[in-house]
Amino acid sequence: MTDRKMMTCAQVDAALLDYLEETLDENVRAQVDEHVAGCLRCNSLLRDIGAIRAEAGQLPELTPSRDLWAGIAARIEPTVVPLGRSPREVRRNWIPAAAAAAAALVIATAGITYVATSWSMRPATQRVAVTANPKSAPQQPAAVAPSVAPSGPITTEAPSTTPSEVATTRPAERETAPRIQSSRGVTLASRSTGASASPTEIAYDGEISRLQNIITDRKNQLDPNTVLVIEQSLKIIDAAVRQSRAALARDPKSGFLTDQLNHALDKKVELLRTVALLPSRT
Amino acid sequence: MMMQPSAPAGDSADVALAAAGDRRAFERLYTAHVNKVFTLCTRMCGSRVRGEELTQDVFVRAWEKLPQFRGDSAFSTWIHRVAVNIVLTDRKNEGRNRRRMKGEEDEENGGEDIFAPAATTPRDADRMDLTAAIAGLPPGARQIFVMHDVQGYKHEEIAELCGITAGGSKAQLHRARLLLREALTR
Repeated sequence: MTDRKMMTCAQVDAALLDYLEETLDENVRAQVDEHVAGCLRCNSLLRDIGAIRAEAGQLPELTPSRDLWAGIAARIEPTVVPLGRSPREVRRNWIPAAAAAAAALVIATAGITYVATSWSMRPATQRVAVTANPKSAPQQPAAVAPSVAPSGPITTEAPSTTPSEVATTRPAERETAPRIQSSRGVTLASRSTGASASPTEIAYDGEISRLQNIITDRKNQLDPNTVLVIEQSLKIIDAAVRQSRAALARDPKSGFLTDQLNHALDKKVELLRTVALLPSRT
Repeated sequence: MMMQPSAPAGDSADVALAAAGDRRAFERLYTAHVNKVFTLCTRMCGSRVRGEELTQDVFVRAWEKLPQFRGDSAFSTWIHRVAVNIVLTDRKNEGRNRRRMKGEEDEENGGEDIFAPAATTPRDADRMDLTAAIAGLPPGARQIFVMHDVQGYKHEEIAELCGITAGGSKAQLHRARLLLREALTR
């Protein structure tokens, strides 16, 4: 190891990288050259690293030991994407979406239901008074008997949730729901055995149950032809509900089927709500 | 500088076709570039087996990102960058890398690795020595040595790709060279 006047080995080490990349100032480079020319250690170091650099730049290209394309092709193969949202997306989104829809539904209909329920629970004299108010929902005065009896009760697939379950949401209905249920002969179609109701379904069922009670109360006030149309529509919707529930019983994790069921229940609630607010027959 | 990727003739047409979803065109690009990509991956990760897996990852990523390739650089340059990113990302999985450094994976795969001596001529033997020495470097030093001295990347590019400073890249390179010298003159 030799100490030169102008530069030490340590200084050469520090400048070596820039020296090799030819980014050193000419003066400094000359000093390194001067040191290396008389220093075996630094000369050897510079020569070895230069050789490594040169060889690294000429290393041969490597070849894979196997065909890699097959694996790549399999991974870039286009996947079959179902129309609409992907199952993963549906699975991910259906719970909050359905919960939000159910919450919105309950909020939107609660007021209507409450008004209609209050109306249906009032004595006849009060109903007349309500009818007399032009801003209230139009109702046939109780004193006027219907001239044509409806063809029959509006029979729909009742929600699987029992009236007592529904009644837990509102104390006022806790008393009325069982009474209405037992006295009206509404045909109940229970959910498939073993199927458990989701919170969304329970919310729908509760709302449907309340609306059905209102409609059953009002059936004598509605036009028989309207009642027929409503019954036919409800049968169609109930068939869709049944099919969706049956399919869900076979594939309980299907987000698509859950969406279908919720859609059908949504339609049913919408129809029942419309019927509940229909003006009485004139 | 040294082995900056060159663009094979006809790449641009195939790039455009592949970007539009033409798998045949992409297969042609694969054929033209697979060896360079595999070489880069293998030298940077130090294992042939893992190099093959990473090469597949590179081309899958390239297929996914190709529609975003604007053609500002040659496709070969672009896919090399993709490869470097894939290898660097792979390194972040410390546990897997630690196993690989110990050679466990290579033992599991029958020892197929660039550590294995396979050269027959003296010249090849020298090269394999260097190859084995590179593979034996610590991962950080190895990747920067391969990127700079084998692939010809500049320190500024390495710094950007690796998320370090150009000074850090220089320091790692210097360390790698000294370690290689030590290994080769042992």
